Amino acid sequence: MAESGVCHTAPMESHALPAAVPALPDVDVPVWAWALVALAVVVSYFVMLENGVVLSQVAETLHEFFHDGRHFAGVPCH
Amino acid sequence: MKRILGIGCLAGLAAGAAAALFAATAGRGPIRDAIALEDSISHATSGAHHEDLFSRGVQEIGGAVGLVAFGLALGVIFSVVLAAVGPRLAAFTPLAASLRLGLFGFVAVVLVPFLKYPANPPAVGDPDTVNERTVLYFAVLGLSILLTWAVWRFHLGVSLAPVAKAWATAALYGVGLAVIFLALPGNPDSIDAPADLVWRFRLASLGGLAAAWATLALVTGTLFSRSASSQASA
Repeated sequence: MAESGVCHTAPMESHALPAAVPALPDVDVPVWAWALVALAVVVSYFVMLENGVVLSQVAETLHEFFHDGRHFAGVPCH
Repeated sequence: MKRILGIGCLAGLAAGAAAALFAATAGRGPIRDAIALEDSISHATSGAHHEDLFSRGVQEIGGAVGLVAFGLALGVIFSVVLAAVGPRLAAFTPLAASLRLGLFGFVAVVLVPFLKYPANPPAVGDPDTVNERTVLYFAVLGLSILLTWAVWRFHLGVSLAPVAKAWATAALYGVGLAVIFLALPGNPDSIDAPADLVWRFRLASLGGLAAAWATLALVTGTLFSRSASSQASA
């Protein structure tokens, strides 16, 4: 089921499952997927936590626009 | 892998929508009350009305957009992590595995940080300490995720009888949590807003995040199940 075309390099533990029970896809997560995860973390940071440490000018606008969501998500706010 | 990410995006959007819906209903009242209180305080102290960058309505829409964007990001992270730990969870069906990851994720990413630094409504929070509070929030979030990962590795790696293993795992997690809670300082801000308002807001926030994570785990698990069974029958 390695649809990404990336070969399995690490030995997988083989759990024998009855054929009828669907299991999670057995894929090695390619590097680009982890890069997307990193991007998702960065996006979360800008939406939820940026208070001016990285973007000083734009931050205020960004901060105020997402204001309610930030409070609601429980992240620190001014 | 692309299909997995597609599932993550879809589930993340649904989770963000659940959070936004919760915010629009349960969260709206406490946030409005808190902002009214904030305005009355700033009027009383400075006498000057501070110019709002956005109106209340725009901030409510922006808040919803932010929650959906955050949900989307969370969905991508969740589906990739689920795919990565998949081989370790081969004993479970995709739905059961997703619900488990969702529960552990909720505790590690939401509940533990919430217990240390509970969410606060507008009107609470000193602008001068926001950087310190952001660092503390990151610290508790990072340590909580690290602890969960370490305890999971311990659980996978240690060879003990099942009952002893359960106790050892729980003890390790409990001790780790105690160390995190004792090592980090408390919230530097004093909370002057009425406790009733603060807690109405906190419960709405926690409820919304719980709804988001439940939606995330349920939708991801369901879509993984469908994709697995369609492959099995193909």
